Amino acid sequence: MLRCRGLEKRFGDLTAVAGLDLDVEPGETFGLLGPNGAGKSTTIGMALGVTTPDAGTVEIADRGSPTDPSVRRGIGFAPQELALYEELTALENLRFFGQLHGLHGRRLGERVDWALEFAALTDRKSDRVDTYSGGMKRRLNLACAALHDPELMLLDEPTVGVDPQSRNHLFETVERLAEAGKTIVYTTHYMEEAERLCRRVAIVDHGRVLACDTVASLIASHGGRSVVEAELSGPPTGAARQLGTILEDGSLRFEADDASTAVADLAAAGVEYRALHVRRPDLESVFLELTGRRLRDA
Amino acid sequence: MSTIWTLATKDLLLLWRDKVSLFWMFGMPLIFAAFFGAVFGGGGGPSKSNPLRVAVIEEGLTDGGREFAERLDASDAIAVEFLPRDEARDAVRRGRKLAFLEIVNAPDPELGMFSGETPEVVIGIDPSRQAAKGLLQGLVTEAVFAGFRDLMTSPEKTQEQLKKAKQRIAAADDIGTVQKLALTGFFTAFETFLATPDLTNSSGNGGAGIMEPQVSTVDVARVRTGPPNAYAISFPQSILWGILGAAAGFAMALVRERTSGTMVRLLTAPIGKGHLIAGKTLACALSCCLVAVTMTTIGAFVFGVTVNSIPLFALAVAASAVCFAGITMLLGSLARTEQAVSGITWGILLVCAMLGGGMMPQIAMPGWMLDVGAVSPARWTITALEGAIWRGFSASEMLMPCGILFAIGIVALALGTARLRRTD
Ligand SMILES: Nc1ncnc2c1ncn2[C@@H]1O[C@H](COP(=O)(O)OP(=O)(O)O)[C@@H](O)[C@H]1O
Ligand SMILES: [Mg+2]
Repeated sequence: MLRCRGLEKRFGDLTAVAGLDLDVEPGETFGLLGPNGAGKSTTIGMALGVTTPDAGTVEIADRGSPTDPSVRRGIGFAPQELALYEELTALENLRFFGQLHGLHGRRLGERVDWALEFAALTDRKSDRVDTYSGGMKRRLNLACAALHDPELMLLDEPTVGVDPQSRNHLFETVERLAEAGKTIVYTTHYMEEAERLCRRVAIVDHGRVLACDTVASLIASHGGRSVVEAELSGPPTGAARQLGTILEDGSLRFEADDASTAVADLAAAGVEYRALHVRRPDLESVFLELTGRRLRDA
Repeated sequence: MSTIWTLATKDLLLLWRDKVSLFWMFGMPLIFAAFFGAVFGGGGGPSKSNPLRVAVIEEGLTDGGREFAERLDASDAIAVEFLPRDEARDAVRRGRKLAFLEIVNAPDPELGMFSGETPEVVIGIDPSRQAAKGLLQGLVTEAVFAGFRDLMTSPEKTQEQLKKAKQRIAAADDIGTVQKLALTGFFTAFETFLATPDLTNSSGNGGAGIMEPQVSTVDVARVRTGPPNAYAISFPQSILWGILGAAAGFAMALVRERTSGTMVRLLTAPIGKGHLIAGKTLACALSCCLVAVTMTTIGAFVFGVTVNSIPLFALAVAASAVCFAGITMLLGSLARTEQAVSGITWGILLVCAMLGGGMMPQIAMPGWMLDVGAVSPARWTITALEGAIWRGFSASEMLMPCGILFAIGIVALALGTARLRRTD
């Protein structure tokens, strides 16, 4: 659906994207996960045809380069920065962007009504956008991208700066789009978003794809083992010290493949415990493994 | 085309919601027009530092005519310049000269009033300038009589002239013998009359009885509706201010489109960049037209400023709109932040307005200032608007200001477009 080959983009001395390849399959929700400044937005810009790559090519399935306006008809884009006319109402914004995408007449009316419902803004459709909360604006920003029913949707950090409730609503709407068969590219620096929504994820840092696979495979190959913490029943024994490290609060931490091997390990060592916490590896662990840094403070 | 229209109507809707821009486009210019129209309702008289500037037509000007004109010039109240007919008319129409004088049949200094023709001075003046017209008529009439007074108060000179006249009559072969005799007799009688000793004490007004000088006026504005009042000056200026307000507002809107992120959405829509630029330009041009029509309507119904020629007014408005829409796109492409654009835009536009007669009316500008102002599009906007509203320009006279406006607009638009295409 979307194929990028050898994309490069420099801003002066800074290399924002350094030889990036992507293949997004039709109908999948694809995550572009990386810390701030990784080059995600720049990549999306090139995929949209608004940022000119210094090298490399972008192709939209069977249609060609997105620099051709007619190719862009099949793309929906929700920018990271809100892109709405604050002095206009939701209805006016949607009608305008719908018309720009070639909708008119009854079809325009239907799609605008759909988008208002999609963004849960039907009640507020005649209020100016500058009276909306951050979450409402985000929802409208996303609705503008879905308005013309595009096959491919590029969503650049669609949940930035929203309250948990709106965030949940946004997740549900993205899932709705995925169920409707859209191909979605979802960029984020929140690994739990990528884990929840995306089938496949590309982990990006310094303008490069470090790894790209399904969430499960990434974790399996880069996530390492589960981290187990056992609250011991008594003072730590020698066997316990051999199994792992004793933390300040006296509990034992060690690594295991999963919960059942952890229980087996403890039983074999004869360590008695009151409670067991198993933290399974996640994309955060994958990122840590790949870059030596945590996503959040990278 | 419908895409461009969609883009333009969106911008107009945004403008409608932006009360500050609306004030600069409509409120402030209206206050300006009403205020300065009222302030300049009256006018001071001519003085040495501010004489009535008149042009004397060079064509067909006799030595006597030139002498007469120089006599006028010697007065503190009038400053004379000799110009070819077309230039003189033009100068009056454009307000660079108050009037032109055509001195027909001025007395030949050699023959004096015995040249056999009625001295005639035609004053070409805008019909609206009633007070100035009366004043000028008075001054010219006075100068004509002063000429006669010279003749009457220096009998030797007059007798000399009579002698010459008689010689000419004798030599002429296109006058019948009877007439020759009659004329010679008349002149001889007159010579005798002049020789009367107490004539030098008389006022000389008797000359007027012999040969009535004719001072007539012609309206320079071809169509008779001139500016009925000072509002006819202040309203074209206010239209300019409104257009400048629109230009500044749209230059800001163009930058705001970039800073607020909506430009990205426009750029990713399935439309070309040309559409975007055309939509913005159209919206700006339409608002300029809206300003002009609104101000003119208010001017007509509230302040009695009638438009002389509606088609020419439409042309002037279209030319100004194209000019300033182009300038707007150029200004909007120059800077990245709203503050920068606001500064650059108002700076440039204010200078344009000052040079072009947005503050001091063109009609009151000294010549050098009008010349300097020729670089300012504001100058041509006001010339074109005044030409259509009350100066009674012909279509061909509108060609120059409107042509310049169109040309500036197109060049600025091309430069702005090139910059916008390159940067985004
Ligand atoms: N227009 C630009 N001019 C200069 N530098 C830019 C520009 N856009 C992005 N960058 C830089 O490129 C890098 C990648 O940015 P971006 O693609 O926005 O990252 P992300 O979306 O992953 O947070 C950052 O260091 C950013 O500062
Ligand atoms: Mg980004």
